[in-house]
Order: sequence, then C-alpha cells, then structure tokens
Amino acid sequence: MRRLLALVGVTSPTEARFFQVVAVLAAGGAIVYWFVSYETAGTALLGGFTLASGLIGLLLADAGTDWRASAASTRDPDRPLLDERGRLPSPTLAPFAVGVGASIAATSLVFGPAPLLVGALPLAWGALDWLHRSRAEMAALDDGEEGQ
Amino acid sequence: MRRAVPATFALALVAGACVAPAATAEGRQIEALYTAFLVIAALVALVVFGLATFAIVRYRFVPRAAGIEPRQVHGNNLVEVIWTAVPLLIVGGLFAGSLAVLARTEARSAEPVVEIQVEAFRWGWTFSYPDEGVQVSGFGNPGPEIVVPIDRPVRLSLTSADVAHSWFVPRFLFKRDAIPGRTNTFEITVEEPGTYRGQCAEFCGIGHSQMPFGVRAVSEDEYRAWLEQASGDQG
Amino acid sequence: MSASAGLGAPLLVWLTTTDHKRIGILYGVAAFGFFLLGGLLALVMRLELSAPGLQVVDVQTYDQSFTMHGTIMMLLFGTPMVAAFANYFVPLQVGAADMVFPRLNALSFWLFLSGGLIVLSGYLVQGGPADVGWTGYAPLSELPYSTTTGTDLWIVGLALTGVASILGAINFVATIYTRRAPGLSMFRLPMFCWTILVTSLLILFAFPAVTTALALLLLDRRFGATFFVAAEGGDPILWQHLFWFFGHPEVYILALPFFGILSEVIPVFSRKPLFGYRLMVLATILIGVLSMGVWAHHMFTTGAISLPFFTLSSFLIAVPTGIKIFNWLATMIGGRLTFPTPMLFATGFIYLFTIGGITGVIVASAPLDFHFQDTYFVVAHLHNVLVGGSLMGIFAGLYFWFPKITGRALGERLGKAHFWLWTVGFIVTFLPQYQLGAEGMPRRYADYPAELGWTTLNGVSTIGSGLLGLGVLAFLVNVALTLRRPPDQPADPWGGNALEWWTSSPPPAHNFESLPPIRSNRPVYDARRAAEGGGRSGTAGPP
Ligand code: HEM
Ligand SMILES: [Cu+2]
Ligand SMILES: [Cu+2]
Repeated sequence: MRRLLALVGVTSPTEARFFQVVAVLAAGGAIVYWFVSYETAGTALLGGFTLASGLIGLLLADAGTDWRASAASTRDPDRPLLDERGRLPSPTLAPFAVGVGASIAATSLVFGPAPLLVGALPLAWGALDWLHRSRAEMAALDDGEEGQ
Repeated sequence: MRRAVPATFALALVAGACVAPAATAEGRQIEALYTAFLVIAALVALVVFGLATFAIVRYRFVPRAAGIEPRQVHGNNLVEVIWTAVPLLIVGGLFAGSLAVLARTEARSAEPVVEIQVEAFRWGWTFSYPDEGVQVSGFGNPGPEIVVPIDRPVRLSLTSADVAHSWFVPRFLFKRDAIPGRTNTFEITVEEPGTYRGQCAEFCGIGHSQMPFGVRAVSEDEYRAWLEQASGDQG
Repeated sequence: MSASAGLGAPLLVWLTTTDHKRIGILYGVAAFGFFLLGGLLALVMRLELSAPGLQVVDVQTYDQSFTMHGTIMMLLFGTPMVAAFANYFVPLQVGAADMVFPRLNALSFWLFLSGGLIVLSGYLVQGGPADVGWTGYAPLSELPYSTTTGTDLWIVGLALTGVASILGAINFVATIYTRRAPGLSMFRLPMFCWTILVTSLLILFAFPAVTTALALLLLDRRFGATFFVAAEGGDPILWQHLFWFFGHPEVYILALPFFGILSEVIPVFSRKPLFGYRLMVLATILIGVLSMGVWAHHMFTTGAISLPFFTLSSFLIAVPTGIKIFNWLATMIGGRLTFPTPMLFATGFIYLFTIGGITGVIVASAPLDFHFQDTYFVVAHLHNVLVGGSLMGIFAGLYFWFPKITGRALGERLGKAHFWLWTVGFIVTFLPQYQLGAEGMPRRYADYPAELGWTTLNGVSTIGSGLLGLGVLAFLVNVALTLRRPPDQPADPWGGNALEWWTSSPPPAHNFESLPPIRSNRPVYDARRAAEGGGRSGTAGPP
C-alpha cells in the first residue's frame, strides 16, 4: 500500500515527486497537443518526454527513501565529510584519453576510416585504464567495509 | 539619472518599433493588434521599471542604516497570488486578441477573385495565374513584379523548387514560407493602390538577400488591362 | 590518494584532474575563449552591416560568420558556461566533496572541448566552416546546397558536445539528489541548485532530439538517406520539429541558471531572504516544463503547425517568468541595498531582461510573428534575452563568485566601467534593431539596399557593438590585473547565504573541513547570526 501511494506520488520523496509532477504535466501537454493538431512528430516527442520523466519518477518512487538513507547514513552528522574524502578518485588521464579518442574516431564519419584508427588507440587505453581503476576502488571499498 | 534610465527604456519601447502602415485588410488587423500589444507592453514595463527604480532609490544603503538588519520577510501569499493572477489575465486577453486576428488571416474565401501560384527558387520567383494563362518569372534586382486588383481577395499558393524560402512583403505585415514538397495557401486583400516591395525572409544560401519581388496593386480595370497585355505577350 | 603535485608539469594536472572545481574552471576558460571568438565574428558582421554594399567580407563568409557565431554562442559558450558555474558551485552549495561521478565529469569536459574544436576545424578544410545558420534548416543543409565539408564537421562536433551535455546533466541530477549534506532537504536547496536541476532535466529530454536530427542529416549527406529530402518522400518540416524541440528549451538552458544566479546575488546585497522561495521553485519547474511545449513558435510561418496551441503555450511562460521578476523586486523592496558590481549586473538584468521578455510575448503571438519572424526584430529580441539577460547573469555570477574561485576580488572601478559599457552598449546595439525589424529588414542578410532607409540605424547598431567590445576588454583587463595580486579574500567576503561561503576562498581540494548546522535555506546566514549572538532568525522552509 505504501508502495502504491509512493508510485502515484502521494508519499514519494520530493526527489521522485519532481519527476512525477513533470511527467503528469508533460502527459497533459502531449494529450492536448495531439487533439488540437493531430501532428505525429511533436506528439511523439512530447510522448517521449512524458515516458522518460515518468519512468525516472516511478523508479525513484519505487526505491522509496532507501537510496537517500544509504547516501546519508554513511555521513556522520558530526563529521559529515568523512566518507566523501575517501571516494575522491586520484588524478587520471583516462577521461581525457576517452574523450579525445572518441572525438577523433567520430570524425571518421566525415573523413573515412583513417581517424578511426588514430582515435581507437587512446580510446581503448583510456577505457581499460578507467575500468581497471574503478575495479580497484570497488575492491578497496569492499575491503574497507569488511574491516569495519 | 537613475530615474531617467527606465523612462528612456519605456519610450524606446513604445516609439522605437513602429511598423509602416499596413496596405492590406489583413495587415491592418495585425497592425491594430500590434498597437494594442505595445500599449500593454508599455504599461507592464512601467510597472516593473517603476518598482525597480523605487527599490533602488528608496532602499539604497545609507550610512545611518549601518548595522540595522532589515526585516527578514520571506514572502506574502496575497501579493504572490496577485502577481500570478494578473499576468494570467493579461495573457488571456492577448490570446483572445491574437485568436481574433488569426481568424482573419487564416480565412479562405469561397471564391477568390484571383489565384496566383508562386514557386520560389534559388534565387528568384515564378508567379503564375493559371486561369488567365499568365506567368511572371525573374531573379535579381528589381525582380519579377505581379499585379493584383485592390479590394479583392487574392489567393496565393506557395511552394519551392529547392530549399525553404519565405514570401515577405513588409507593407502587408505578412510572410509565409515556401517549402519544398508543401503548398501553403493564404489570402490577401490589398486596400491601398501602390507598388510594394517583397523579399525573401528564410535563409536560402548566398543569394538570399538578392531575391526581391514587387506587388503592384491597381484598380480592377487596370488589372484586366494588364492581364490582357501580359497574356498577349506570352501567347 | 596520490597527490597531484607528484605529477610535475601543471599541464598534466589539468589534463588528469577529476576535481569539480578545476573542471569548472576548465569549462569556464574554454567557454570564454569561444565567447571571444564568437564576439569577434559578431564585430566582423556588424562592421559589414554598418553601410550598404559589401565592404569587409563576401556573402559566403558572412553566412559562415553568423552560422559560427550563433553556434559558438549557444553551444560552445552559453551551454558550457552553465556547466562551468554548475560544476564549481553545485557540489559546494550542497555541501559535497565532489560530483557523484568525478571521472565522468572530466569526460564531459573533454568531449565538449574536442567537439567544439571539431566544429571550428571547419575553418581549416576547403570550402570553410558550416554555412547553414545555427538552425541548420534542411534541405539547405543537404549536400546539394551546402557542399562544404565544414557542415559535416559541424554535425559531428555538435553531436559530441550534445553527448557531453547529457552526461553532465546526469551528473548534476545525481549530485543534487544524493550528495546533499545532512539537513539539506530539497526545499532548503539554494535556488541556483534548483535551476540547475531543472536545466539538467531540459538537457536530458531536449538534447536527444537534436542529436537525432544531426544523425539523420549526416545519413542524408554522407550515406544516401533521404529523411529531409521532399522529392524522395522525406520531410523538411521534420527537421524543424526536431531542431526546435531542442532549440527552444536550449534558450531556457541559457536562462534558468542565470535566474538562479540572480536569486543568489539579490538577497545577499539586499540583506534579506529571497522573497517567495517556494513560489520561485514552482515557477522554475513550470518554466522548465512549459518550455518543452512551445517549440513550434519558431515555425508559425511554415503553415504546418497549430497556431493557437503554440501562441497560448508561449504566452503562458510569461506568467512564471513574471513571478520571478516580481519576487526579485520584492526581495529588494524593504532591504538594505548595496551595489557592488555583481549587484549592478543583477539589477541591470532585471531592466533589460524585462524588455526581452515583453518583446518575446509580441513575437509569441502568431499573427504578429507573421510580420516579425526572421526580421531584425527577432535578432534584437534574442540578443535582448541572451546579451541583456544571460550575459548580465553570467557577469553577475563571475563578479560574485570570483573571490571564492580565486581568493581575489575583481576590481570595482573596472567592474563598474564594464557594467556601464555593457548596458549602454547593449541599448545602442540592439534597441535600434527592433525598429529595423519593424520596418521589415530580414535577418541573415549580408547586404541591404541603400534606398530602404536602414543605413542610419545599422550604423548606430555597429557603434554600439564597439561599446560592447570595450566592455569585454575592461573585464579581461580586470581579470588580468586581479590575478596578479596575492589572494586575500576571506571565506565569506559578501555576507553570503549558501554553503559555498562557509569554506575558505578558494576551497581546499575536498571542499569543506566542517559544515554548519543546516536548518534553513540560509545556513551560512544562520551561523553568522548565531555567532553574533542574534539567535536564530530568518529561517525558511519546513523543519
Ligand atoms: C556581444 C555582442 C553581440 C553582437 C554584436 C552580436 C551580433 C550578431 C549579429 C550581427 C548576428 C547576425 C545577424 C544576421 O545577419 O542575421 C548575430 C546572430 C546571432 N547571435 Fe549574436 N551578437 C552578440 C552576442 C551574442 C550572444 C552572447 C549570443 C548567445 C549567447 C548570440 C547569439 C546569436 C544567435 C543565436 C544568432 C543567430 C545566428 C543565425 O542566424 O544562425 N549573440 N549576432
Ligand atoms: Cu532566402
Ligand atoms: Cu523559442
């Protein structure tokens, strides 16, 4: 029952209700738009807007306030930044490599396959490095929790 | 000085954007609507600028107020309702006025006296009078000129041979796009005889600013005479 | 955690950073660089238009100039400038150490920067950059009509910056939702964060439309598809729907965050809380949602859309926008107003943006737009909103937060000179264009005939643009001089309200050593009062 109330927005947290309200307004707009214009492209776009915001709203509402609690519980009111400092990632070249690599690769759409070969290298290296680092951090986090 | 600034703004707004007098029946309605909008705009601007200037002048920090904290007001439901409701009423009125003028510009008479087909191309115009077998086409300056009778509904059907263009006659306060694969139909009723300059208003490439055309509005008799001669030339 | 100091070269520090503050600075500097370029193009165009005839550039160059100017200003300057402010201040205002996804955040920036450079690289290829207007209307943007490779680069580059914006938006929403400090409920969130939340929503749901449109256009141009080719069964109107479904919200992406900045600046220099906080939140959400339903007011003259629907929906946006303006005025009234440069820009915003809002209602009326569409009236209106609005907001924010970012306050004398040059320059440049538009001068004209009487006002407008240029120069000199001084600013130089004023200027890498108790939407104000022994006052919002 509580879950149902949350899904329709009655007891959902503000974060969820924000998307729920947006979805309801968007749905209203889409319906009115269809009946005054019978125009498909715009109706589809407004429909997509409704569905996407509605879906996010429902998922957040369904999750209740657990996700909020879990975010907050790690934050000791006396030392609110305790967990935060631990999770700051160390400097890394990976995002730069992925971003620039992907962009160079994308110009293949204009210049043919050559840029793809150039861009793939940093892209692949960056992606691997990124994956590697986040794995290591996850593992460290798990260890930390077990240790507590 | 501070007070002069808002006053200048308001004046610039009212005086600063006057349209040329409309030459068509439809354009006159648009012109009247625009005037109404401008009056309301000036009133709204005066209220906002007035309040802002009042705040600046009256509540400016003066040394003798140092250390005194102003009353910490967080809101006031009544005034917040007022400045939600009053703007709603205003735009409601503006909407009603717009609908009324739209009813005129979008109206199609049962039997228009003149029908003209317009095809825009890069960078010029072809106008044809299918019933009369007359065609006027041209590009560059001064461009083709069509002739229409005054006080009669003239129906134009607009399309494009290549990219989007827009048929715009400033003195008619009216434009409509010429889009490939579509035909846009509208009507004008010229009330004042004269020659009116038209131009392209949708960016269409490097010749965009170089495709003017003319619309000459004449009496019914002169119009007949022109048709006669034009069809003779082409026959 | 390894310290960045070991990495040596400062360049590497910036290339490898995942610190939201550094990324914010990167965004800001890159965006401002693009702004200077876009401004230069604007001056070239204004010079060309100062008199009839072609004096400075040829028609093709003019067309490419307004295309690149519009593209740069909207997508390589405006949008990333929002990202700059949001990156720096959202984590600070919610009391977090960083964004939720710091590496993703860095990726957003690098994607944006490389995408932007790809757009600009059109200047290096034969045929030059895109020449299709920032709106890229099909079929003019199809291959037979726009033959330069620059247009393809424009498509690819913009698609990349779009992806960057979407990733950034996800990050902002997630940060606001999950990293708020204990006690900071949604209804105690600073207004700036609320506007970033709604802006992110717009980015999430509007950018996919233009990305789709760009992809389809590239398929048409490069791979023989015919989505927008009427003769082959495609639909040119579809481009306009997809583009403007993004394009109008984009305008609000460039407005809402600066509404947010005003809502931060005005209370501080009025020494009062923001008037009607909850109504402001509601107005922000309404503006956001409504702005998704007005796109075809750019298509009134196509004959392909519902005129009453889009007239009404566009009019309705004026109501929440008006609420904001009146709430700011009510914040000022009864306050104790001081006018350092940030407050000057905020006040100037109220005056100038109001004119832009009013002329927006004029062009939102379909029958009036039949006359004004694609004339200089629209050019004046859009610059009124963007130059008289967004840029005033950007400068208000820069002067307001510069001490926080750098530990140094920008000079007041140059700041005031900047403000007056900018305000007068705006009026002289753009108000005459309303008249030009009313007389029927179309936009995107490289040239106009002498006999139509448009020469004088165009000359005036060009002079005004010189004043705007001088204003920017004053700002740059101010920044250069200020950065040469040693940092001397305290944590809270203005007497601020939100959490960013709690920590040192500039903040340490992890942002906060401690946080004050948060019992209202003005935690720093409350703490200051408590320290003064004034007890708790001026709290707002539910417990
Ligand atoms: C700072 C002074 C500025 C000046 C003097 C200026 C001047 C101009 C000029 C001359 C045009 C071309 C008009 C035409 O031929 O149709 C133009 C177009 C445009 N400007 Fe600006 N501009 C300025 C700032 C900005 C800013 C800050 C923005 C946005 C944030 C902006 C956005 C645009 C857009 C979107 C267009 C339309 C481009 C197109 O037609 O494709 N401008 N501007
Ligand atoms: Cu054209
Ligand atoms: Cu719009």
